[in-house]
Amino acid sequence: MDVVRSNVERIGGIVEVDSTPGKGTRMTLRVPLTLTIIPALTVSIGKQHFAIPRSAIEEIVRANGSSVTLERVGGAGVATIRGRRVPEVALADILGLPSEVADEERTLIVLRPAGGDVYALAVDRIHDHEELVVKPAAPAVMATGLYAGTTLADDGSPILLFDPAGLAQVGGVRLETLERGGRVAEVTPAANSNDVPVLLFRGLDGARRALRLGVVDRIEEVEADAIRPSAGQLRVQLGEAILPLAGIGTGTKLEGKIRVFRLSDGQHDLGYAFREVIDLMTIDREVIPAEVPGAISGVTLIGGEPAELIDAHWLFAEHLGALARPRTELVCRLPEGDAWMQNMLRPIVEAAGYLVIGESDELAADVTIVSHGNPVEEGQSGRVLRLATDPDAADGEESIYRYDRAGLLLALKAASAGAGRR
Amino acid sequence: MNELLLIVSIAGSRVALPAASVESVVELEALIPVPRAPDHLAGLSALRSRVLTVIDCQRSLELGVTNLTAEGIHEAAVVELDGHHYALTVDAVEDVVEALSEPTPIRAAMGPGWERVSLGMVETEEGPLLLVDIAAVIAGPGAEVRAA
Repeated sequence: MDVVRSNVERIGGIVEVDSTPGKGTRMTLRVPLTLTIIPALTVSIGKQHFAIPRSAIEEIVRANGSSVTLERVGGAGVATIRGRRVPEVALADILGLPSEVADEERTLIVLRPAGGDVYALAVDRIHDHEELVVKPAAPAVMATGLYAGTTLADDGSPILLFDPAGLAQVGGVRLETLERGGRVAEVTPAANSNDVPVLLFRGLDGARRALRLGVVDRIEEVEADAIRPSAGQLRVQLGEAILPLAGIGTGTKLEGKIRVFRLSDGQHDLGYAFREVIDLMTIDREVIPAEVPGAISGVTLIGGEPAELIDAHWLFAEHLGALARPRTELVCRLPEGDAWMQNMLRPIVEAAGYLVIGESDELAADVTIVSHGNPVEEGQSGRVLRLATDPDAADGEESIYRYDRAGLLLALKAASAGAGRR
Repeated sequence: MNELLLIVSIAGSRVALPAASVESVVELEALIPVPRAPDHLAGLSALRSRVLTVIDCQRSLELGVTNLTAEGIHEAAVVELDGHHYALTVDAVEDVVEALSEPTPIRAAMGPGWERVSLGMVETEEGPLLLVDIAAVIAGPGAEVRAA
């Protein structure tokens, strides 16, 4: 296996052995399609050039960028890249080469060695992408553990190709921290954080608006006839779901394809129609709050022009008001065999927020509704409502005339209030 | 037919390399250092689209340092070992001679560096010469420590 590994790694491949006691072993051999040509990025430290296999590179960020901070924790470098903490090592330190570039001026290459977790490698300069014909280096060179091979660059000079896993090892980035590293740092943006990513878009009425990126789940495109008013408000059909739709003013003509943001608060979704996305921006200026609460929470300058900020909270509160009400598990027992109860009463009870069960269900009921004169089993029935077919038989307390809608709802409400107090 | 020997001088001493294993003698051009590699590994150089690993023989023998960055011609003998090409830096390449005897052990005390790379003494028309073990030169001074 050692021989296989060294030979597979020699051509830029990976050997992985995953073994579960008692179940078996899975061996994975990953071999590049073209055996000897490896796409690589050339970097330099001081005057010397090196190559890094592109397959291991996850991203490249500037150390002095706004989303990156470098810290020293007990002498070890830790880079925070968009809230993710990754170990950081400077290539110049690993190689013991002098470098005149300050830490902040360097470029961080986020590497993910085969099978490991990410770490950031600080290099002085990034040059070019090259397709390199990699050849194994002499054993003494390979013995350093840093290199995967040698090759000739475009100008004919030899260039060393790094082994990202070896770099981490020599650089002191421990493998066990590699597995668990790269954890997400709990960074709560300050109230006046400069970096709130927003999606700048143009509404159907042509206004520049911005929406915090976090609430946008995805963007969908629907036919205009998928949008129609129903049950009191505009709704859009997105696939299997029917969602309340905002962003359409009264009298707006809908034609052709309409683009819709699918907003999500984690539990409920909401559509927001718009004309086009302008760009992904950050709010960098003060927000002037709106006078009255509404769909627009305020105005701010984005990209040098004013834009209205959408108040996602208001949208959800307005459009999902009833739906998003927290559900207390209220249970109402209705006689299963009673057609009137099932067909006429059940929708009203369900609309009042009850889960309707039958007599044979085991669940404890908060309310049990029976016809006047029918017996009620003791225990697990909660409050008992008797419905009378004759208005005269109803006393308004325990028994209610079955078409006394207001009285029924009142009784159901009283029961739910009672259940809430329990 | 007797073995042919290439006479080179390393650190001021004339020694013999088995000519059969020497592919060519080149003048080294730009040298790319290999960070973290053993000291006697001077770097990499290119020769006709091939990468040469340059071995500083003086360092390998612990007899000093070859100044490869200085101006001038740096001669090196190109050898192949286990599929890899190496360039051994030498002070000068002098001649090719025929060995007149089998290598015989040298009983006198040699310098520590030489002792390690010695294959023995061979008689030539130019007098007795030390026959150098190329693999030992490439392995460098650290090899014995690792092997022990």
